[in-house]
Amino acid sequence: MLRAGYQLLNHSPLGAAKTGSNNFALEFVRWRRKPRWLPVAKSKVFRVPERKKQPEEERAELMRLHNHYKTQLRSVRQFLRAEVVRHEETSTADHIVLTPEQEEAEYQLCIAENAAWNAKIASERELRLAKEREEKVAYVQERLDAGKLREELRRERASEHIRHEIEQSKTFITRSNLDEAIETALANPVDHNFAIDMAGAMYKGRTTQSLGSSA
Amino acid sequence: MSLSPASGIGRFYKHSAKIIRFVRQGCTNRPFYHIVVMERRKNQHQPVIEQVGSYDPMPNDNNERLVALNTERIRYWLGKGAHMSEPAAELLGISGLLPVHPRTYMTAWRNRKAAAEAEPVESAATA
Amino acid sequence: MSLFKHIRQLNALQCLQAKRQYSPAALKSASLQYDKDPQPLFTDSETQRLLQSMTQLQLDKVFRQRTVPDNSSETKFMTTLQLEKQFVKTIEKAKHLLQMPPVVKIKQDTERIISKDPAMKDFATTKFVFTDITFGLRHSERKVVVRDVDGSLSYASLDTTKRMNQLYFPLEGRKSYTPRMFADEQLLQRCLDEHKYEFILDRLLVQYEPYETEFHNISARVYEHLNESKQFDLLRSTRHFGPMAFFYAWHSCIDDLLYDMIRNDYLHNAVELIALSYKIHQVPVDYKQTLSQLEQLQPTPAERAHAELLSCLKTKDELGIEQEIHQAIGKTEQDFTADELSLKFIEQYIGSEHSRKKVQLELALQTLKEVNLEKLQLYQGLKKAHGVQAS
Repeated sequence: MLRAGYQLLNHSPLGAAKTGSNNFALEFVRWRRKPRWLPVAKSKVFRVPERKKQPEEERAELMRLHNHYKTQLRSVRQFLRAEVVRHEETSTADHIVLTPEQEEAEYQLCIAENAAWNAKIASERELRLAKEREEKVAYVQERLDAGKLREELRRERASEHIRHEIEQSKTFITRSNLDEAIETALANPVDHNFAIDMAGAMYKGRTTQSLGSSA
Repeated sequence: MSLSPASGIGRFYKHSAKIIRFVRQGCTNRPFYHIVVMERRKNQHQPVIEQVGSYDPMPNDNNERLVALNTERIRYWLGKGAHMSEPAAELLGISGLLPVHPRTYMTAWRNRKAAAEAEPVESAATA
Repeated sequence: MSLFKHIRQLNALQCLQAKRQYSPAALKSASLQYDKDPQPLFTDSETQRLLQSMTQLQLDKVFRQRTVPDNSSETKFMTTLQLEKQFVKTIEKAKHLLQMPPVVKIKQDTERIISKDPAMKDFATTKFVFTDITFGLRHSERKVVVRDVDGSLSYASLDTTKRMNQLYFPLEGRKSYTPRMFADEQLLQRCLDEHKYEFILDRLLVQYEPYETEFHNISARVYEHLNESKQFDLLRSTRHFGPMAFFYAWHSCIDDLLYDMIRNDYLHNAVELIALSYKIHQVPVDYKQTLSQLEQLQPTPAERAHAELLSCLKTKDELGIEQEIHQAIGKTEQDFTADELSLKFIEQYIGSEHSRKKVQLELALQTLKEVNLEKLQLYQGLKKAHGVQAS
């Protein structure tokens, strides 16, 4: 009865989603049990589960064996722990302990080593720095020379420009010769317009010369 | 379910409880166990810290059950304070690496008792 | 479930019985066994030298095409210097390939019980086999223990140990079952009749360890068959020639091999074989003097092969007339003197009570002497004709 009910439940989409199946070929044994919220079956309400009786001597024997076992295992564990510690000690350098004198000597040795090393590096560094300084001086000198040259060139170009301007200023129209210039312009009108016929002949002027007169 | 490599990819805390236990590989009706070290709180199909052996509970053609144990690593992990599951402890006891587990003795005497009880019945049936 | 178990057990029992019927098939006709441990004598440096010299080093044979997936070779451009270096390397490699498998006595299987626990009787229906799979151990150091149904813990037998090693750390080419070739008498006989000695011995080496009974029995069978068919050339310049010669010398049946060597004009090998036999059976004949004289006169096989390789580099003009004569005849003056020495030694052997086939050997020796005499005359004639100074 219970199963039938649950299968009914199973047909609902919720049940299918819960079991993750399409109910076609798979039958889940595991989730086909009584749901938690259903009470104990009527037939099982007054059932008292049988409890197997353990013989007294067996219990005592097992107790004895377990006591033995625990004791033995404890000592084995102790041994293994010691083994692991020993192995860790011997496989790293941490376990080497030094006396203060040895430590001092080692420190001095390290200092000396360090100083020697520093000295060596210092000499190397001096050489390198001297070389670098020389290079820098040469570079600056070169740049200065180049700058000077550049300045001279610029000055030359400027004076050239000024000379050119002065030359040009002779033909400028000023307030004093304005009238004269106007008169000259009026007297000589210039007409830049022209026309071209099919043969390529050029006819200059629009107002000064008429097409009809030329034809 | 994919197999995790024997060197183990399981992440673990330094001071968490480790355990040496079986992981059931194999398939339906064909059990096969890996003996592994993993964090105690994890379930058996999560990545392991290390595989230290294997156990084939089905007897082979020569009627023997095969067990492989990486004793060096088992000693290491026990020394590090790893726990043992009861079946694993039994197996290690049988192998002679550790003291024999009481449960082995219990099965032994129960088997002997069952055999002794079955024998008179059989002899009666044949007679 | 219990029914299945029962059937399984029955099957297992049947398998065991079948195996028991199977295994002795190949072994029944092996008659010759090493009666004491041959290992100290075999690994002795003098014996090794003798055996290596007898094996010879023919580069064509060592680097021949094999039945393996990849037989490809590489072609390179090299300078002469590089080529010479490569030659040295090649010789080393050939020596490595010719390393002899050891001859040791059969290892006896002893039962070593670690503990007995009667309280554990019947704790399970089957026995347990425990294998230590600790990383980086050799096969011989790996511990395999067995917990029997009656609760006793013991070291596994050699057979089980080998099986477990093969299961957890498989060797390439070795099978976990007995190959049918070794299990089935007819198949083995067919292999022998087709003279596939090297194939059998190679497979034997892969499948079995040198201290196993099967190894001894089958190899003894092969050697005996070879002694009857007299196809010694098949094994010459392979790694099995040394153990074979050692086997014959140990069981004092060297005459056929000796005959073959004389026929092929390997006189110094014949001398070495006789010396080896004297050494093994502790015959009071002074062979060391002859050997040392021969050694001074003739190069070792490795040197000979190296010289052969180097001679490819030289053109004909560089070789000179003397070398050309040597090549034409195949012997040098030193060879002739060495031959004289060895002939004396071999005749002494044939005259003694140790040889079994005196007539045959004497005939072969006589033929060889005549051929040698002809060659010597030709050699001297050629030398005179070319005006090479006789020394």
